[in-house]
Formats: sequence, C-alpha cells, structure tokens
Amino acid sequence: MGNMLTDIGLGHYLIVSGILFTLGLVVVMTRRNAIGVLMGLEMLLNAAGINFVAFNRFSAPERLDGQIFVIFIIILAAAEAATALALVLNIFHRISSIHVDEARAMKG
Amino acid sequence: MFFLQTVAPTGGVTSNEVFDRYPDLVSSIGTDMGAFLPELVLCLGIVWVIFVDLFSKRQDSRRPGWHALGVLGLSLLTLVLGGFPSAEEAGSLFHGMVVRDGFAVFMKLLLTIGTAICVPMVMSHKDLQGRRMGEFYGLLLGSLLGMYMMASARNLLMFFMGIEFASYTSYLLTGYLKGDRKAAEGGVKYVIYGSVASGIMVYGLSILYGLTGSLDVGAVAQALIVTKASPSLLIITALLCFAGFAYKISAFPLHFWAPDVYEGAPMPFTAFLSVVSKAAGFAILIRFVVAFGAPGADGQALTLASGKVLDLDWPQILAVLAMFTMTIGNLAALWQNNFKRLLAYSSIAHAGYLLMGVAAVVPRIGAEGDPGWQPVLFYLVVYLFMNLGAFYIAQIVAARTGTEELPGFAGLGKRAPVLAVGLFLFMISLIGLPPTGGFTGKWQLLKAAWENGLHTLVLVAVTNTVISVYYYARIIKLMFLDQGDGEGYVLPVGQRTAVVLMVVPILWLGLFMDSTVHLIRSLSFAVIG
Amino acid sequence: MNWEAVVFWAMATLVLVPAFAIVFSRNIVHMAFWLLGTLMGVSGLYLLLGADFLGMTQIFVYIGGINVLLLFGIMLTRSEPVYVRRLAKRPKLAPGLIIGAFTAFTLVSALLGAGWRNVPGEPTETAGILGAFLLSEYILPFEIISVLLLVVLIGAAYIARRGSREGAE
Repeated sequence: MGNMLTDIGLGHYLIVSGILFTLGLVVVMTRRNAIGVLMGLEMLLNAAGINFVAFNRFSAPERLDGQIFVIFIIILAAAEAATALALVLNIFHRISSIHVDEARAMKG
Repeated sequence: MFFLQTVAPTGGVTSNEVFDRYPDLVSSIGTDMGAFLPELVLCLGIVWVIFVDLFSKRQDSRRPGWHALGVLGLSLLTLVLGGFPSAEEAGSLFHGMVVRDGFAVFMKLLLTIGTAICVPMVMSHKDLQGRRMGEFYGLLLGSLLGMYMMASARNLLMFFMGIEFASYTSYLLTGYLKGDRKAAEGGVKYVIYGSVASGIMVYGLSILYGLTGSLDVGAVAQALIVTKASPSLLIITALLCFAGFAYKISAFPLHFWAPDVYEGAPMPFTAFLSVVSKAAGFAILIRFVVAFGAPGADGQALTLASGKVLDLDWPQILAVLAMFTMTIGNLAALWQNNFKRLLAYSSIAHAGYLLMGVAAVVPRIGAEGDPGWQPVLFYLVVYLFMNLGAFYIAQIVAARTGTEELPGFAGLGKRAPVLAVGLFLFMISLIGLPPTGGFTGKWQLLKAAWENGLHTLVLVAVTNTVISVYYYARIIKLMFLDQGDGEGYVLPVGQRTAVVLMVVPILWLGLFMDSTVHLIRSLSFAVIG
Repeated sequence: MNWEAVVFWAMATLVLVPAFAIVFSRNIVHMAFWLLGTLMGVSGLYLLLGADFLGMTQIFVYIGGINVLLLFGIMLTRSEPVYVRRLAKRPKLAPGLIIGAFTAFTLVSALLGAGWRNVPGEPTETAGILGAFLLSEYILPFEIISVLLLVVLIGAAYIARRGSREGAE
C-alpha cells in the first residue's frame, strides 16, 4: 500500500471514470432538453473510454485492444451526434410548437 | 492497493509482433471474403440503390424498391448457396471478429426474409409515395447489414458495432416522414434513449475487458472463469451489458420507447422494427447468454452469471424481467385504440414470452442434446410471419379507410373477407391458439421454461395469454360482428396472394412443425472456448 | 509529488469539476462549455496513460467535431429547445442526485473491490501499432464502420435538409 496521493494506479482512473459515469447518468435522468441529454451521453461514453485505456495500460498492455475500442467509440459518437442532431433539427424545422412533452399528438 | 492476478493469456498477436507478422495476418483476409458474400452483396447494394435513385430521370419512388428487392434476393441466394455449416465447418472469420455457424446463417436468412417482406409494404405505402426513396432503402439495407453483424458477432467490438449500426439506421428511418409530427417525435425519443442505453452497455463492456484483458468473446469467457472478481461486480457488469440488449428487444425496464416510436414510424418500418430488429436483438442476446451465462461449475469457477441480486441468480433475474415485460405489455395493450400502438404493446408482451425462452436457455448451456435456444428461434420464425402479416393487412385497411384507429376495422368481414380471415388467423396465432404456429411456438417456450424449473414464470405467462385474448378478440369482434360504414372492395390479385403467402407458413408451422424444429435442432453453434 | 501524480490530479479535476458543473448548470450553453473542459481532461488522461494517438484524436474529433456540433444544435434550436420528457419546468435534481450518489457508491466500491490484473509496462508510441492492428486483425470493424458512416451521414443529411419540396407540408 503506497501513498494514495502520489502512487497513481489503476484504481485512481477507475474512481474518475465511475464518478464521471454516474454524473452522466444524473444528467441523462434530470435533463429535459434533448441536447442536454446528449451531453450526458457523451459523459457516459468518455467514462467508458477512460476505463478501456486505463485497463489497457495496467491490466493488458501486451496488445492495444482497449485503445482500438476507444477509437471506435469516438467514431460512433460522432455518427451518433450527427444522427441525433439531424432528428432534433428535423423536429425543429417541421413543427411550429416543438415541446415534445407538452404536445398531445401522442398520449402516454 | 491492488493485488496481482493471474489471468489466462489473451491470445493473438502482441503489439511487439504485429509488424513482423503483418503479412500472415493480412493473407487470410482474402479467403475469409469468400464466406462473407452475403454481407458484401449488401454493402454494394446500399450504394447501388442510392445511385439508382440519384440517376432516375423522374421521381419514381418504386424503382429503388425493386432494386432493393433484387439486392435482398441476391443476398438470400448467396446465403442459401453457402448452406448451413456443420459443426466441423463452423468457425470464425477475420481473426475471430465474426463466426460462421448454422445459428448465424439461420438468423441471417430470417432477417433477410423479414426485410424482403417489408420492402413491398414500403413500395405500396401511400405516405412514402413521391418522395426520394433511395436513402430509405439504403438505410434499410444498412440496418440489415448491422443485424447480420449482430447475428454473427464474436468480439465485444463487433457486438457494440452491430448494435450501433442497426440502431442508427433505425433512428433515421423512424423520422423519415419529414412532414409528420409523430414521426419526428418518435425519431427524437428513439435516438435519445437508444444512445443512452448503448452508452450504458459500452461501460459494461469496458469492465468486461478490464476483468479479462481481451475483447475476443472466447478469451473473455475463458478468462472470466479464472478471474477472482467479486460477484457484485459481475452482476453489475451483466446488468450494464443487458441494458443494450433490452433496449433492442424492448424488454422491461427499457421498453417505454416502443409505443411512441412504433406509432410515429411509417407502418412498414414499424413492422420491421417489431419483427426484424427484435429478432436480431434476440440473436445477439442468445450469443451473449450462451457465452457468459453458464453458471460456474462446482461453485469454484466464476462467470458473469455467478453474481446474485437479492438471492436471485441469473436465470431467475431473466425470468423476473420476462414476467414484467409480458405483463406490462399486455395490460397496456388493453386500453389502446390505435392499431399500431396496440401491436407495439403486443410486441412488448411477445418480447416477454421470448425472454422466457432465453431464461430457459441458461440451465442448458453446455448440456448434451438439443440446444436450449431452439424454442426461441422457432417462435421467432412464427412471430415473423404472424406479426408482419398483421401489419400488412392493417396497412391495406388503413390505406382504404384513411385511419389507423381500431374502428377502421369494423365490418371488415363483409367488406373484404380475404383480409378479415387473414387477420383473424394472425390474431389467433398471436393469442397462441391451435391450429396456428403461435400455438406450437408458445407451447414449446412454456414447456422449456417448465422443464427448467421456472414454474412461476410459466403460470404468469399463461395468465398473460388469457389477458391478451381480450384485446385480440376485440379486433375479431369488430371485424365480424360490428357494422362498419364504407363499401366493400375487391382486392388486387397481388395483395390477395401476399396475404395467402403469409397465412400458409403460420398454418404449416402450426400443423407440421417437426421439420422446422428438426432443422433448428441440427444447426451448429460455434460455442466459444 | 512526482510529475505523474501532479498531472493526474490536475486532469482529474479538469474532468470532474466541469462534470459536476454540467449537472448543476441551468444554462444549456454553459453546459456545452463545461463539457469542453471534461473532454479536455479526458484527453489529458489518455495522454498520461500513454495513449498519445487517442489523446489527439479525442481533441480533434470530440472537441473539434462533436462539441462544436452540439453548440450548433443549441444555437439552431435556441428559440425553442426540443424537450424529450414530461417534467416540471425546472429539472428536479434531488432525486437524480440521490440515485446518482447511490449508484456512484455501488459502482466505485465494486470496481475497487475487484482484484484487477496489474502488469507493469512502459507506454510506447502507439500510432503505428494501432494502424497495423486496424489493417490486419481489426480490418472487419474498420471496413464496416466506413459503411456505417457513409449510410448514416447520407441519411442524416436527408433528414436534416430543410425546405425540400416533399417535406414542406
């Protein structure tokens, strides 16, 4: 057991990623704005990214599997953001009143 | 702070060797391509349909549809010519990224047939006329390509990519009717919650990677057995991963998106989502459960299934989720007046029945004899035809009456007897009554669950079936006993043939199920390890 | 304190302080700028872990691409934000925070309680190795994702295009 402050190990990164993941979940749960929820999603994905790279460095340094996974996460996040914004802009352009929750078009 | 842990070597080339062994690694790609023809056909087909639409002189929205059908036919042909690989032929392609086994080929056939049934529905859908449809078919074929990946994935990266590919294209297709308010709302809800579900899943995958140091499912499954991870972490990981699958199959607690999305999406795509997308979700869930769900032998070995929540083990957790899923779906369906919404809740209920089959898979993993997933695959085949058939008839009726609400079906028995009888049979099958495939399929699911000790679940499922009679029978009563306004009409030959073509498999599976059951039992499954 | 510890604590602060600010912020534009901090911090952690290529990719794609895209989205829908949920006017934070604190505690304690394999290794230059892996073992996902990007971007462009004659009703 070394000094918690100076010996940076896997656990430190896991704590950061765990907290970031939870904060992302809180953002997703409490936001109403679609773009706000998307930001929470980016936090979730980044938390997973920290995990992958940290595990790659400390637990499985023989190969770069974890880093490769993160490359794909980043690309997919970009595609996801483009998809989501296209749909958000679609609803914004086509519909005058855009409060999805207040609209009565679809009943719960 | 952390203890040194021994884990089985991860296999594969290490970073130091990758440059030296690069020629060997590349040399196998060419031979693997030969077994990858159906996917290649789809890749080229995506570009082809978009180009066909781009270079059409006039706005003929049906033309790319014919080309999409051609692409699907070609893909189907290559699948059939490839045949079902036997247990000896089964293996992995592209350095273990995907597997080639009977299970994958069967699922791909099922998915392709389902998509091919949806395409003529798209071509005859009135809201989709006169639009640019090249992108629609491109996205549809892309979605199918993603689902091929889901059916055959053998690497955690491919699990994730397959799900994401199928999902992104689905989000866009849901919002494809640009002028439509419900479509726009459905699209936004679908993309937002879907992304969150996959974000949660990828965190679970990252822990799985950390526990085992590999992305290859086989290596992960082996390494998990030696890892001394705490049961609480294992169960958290399993639940995080399950979020992604649950969203795709619309299982509790991630089912809430389905009604709004199903109602908003254009009818043919709703049919696609409720059947094809769900089948792909179950394919990948079965792969996941078979790889990681085996209970640890003699209490020593640990797998993802070793964790417990409140004294429930993994099959019991799946069983509880199945109970909630079917009950919520059936109870909510009772109050629906919109046909698409009713079928949305009904499809949540059916996800529950299928999940019951998956829960019964777990105790049979690794056992000799029939694979536990046989009832699930059989029910997926039945479900494909009965649900697509119901949607197909609903679309014809909606085009005639101009409404997707239930009163549009009143008096259908007099106006269009062929449609009414067809829908009657599909409803009978959805309830699960003989002589239809719905009966034989559900019977096998219940039997499998009972034999594997999930007695409470079976009772809940039977109760649910009784509840579901009410809302399906309501439609039957509307069609035959109620008076409807509107004139009778004669169906075009094409539509009549299509209805008959979908009724025949339902009756056939109900009366002569043995050959299909035998086929599914004989499928090889590349067990990982 | 060695330099690694100093950089780590700085980056962890850069990740988590803006992340908390995102949770509590009421202004969506502020949220986007706080997110910038989090993404920078994550990039710093990647660099600290020896993932030099990823760290730079994170800056280029996440900060240069995705975050800017989100800001554009905010700007374009600023007059009437698109809401996804039926809730009171102000988001209710208290229940979210309680569930969040519980989740964080469970998750972090489970993560720390596990015995992780710890292999000493020195970080190396990664770009070349990543490239060799992507073009050999990972060739399939690499090709599939290119098809995915093509299809999804064509679809997104179709959906987002404004004022086309067919969708004008």
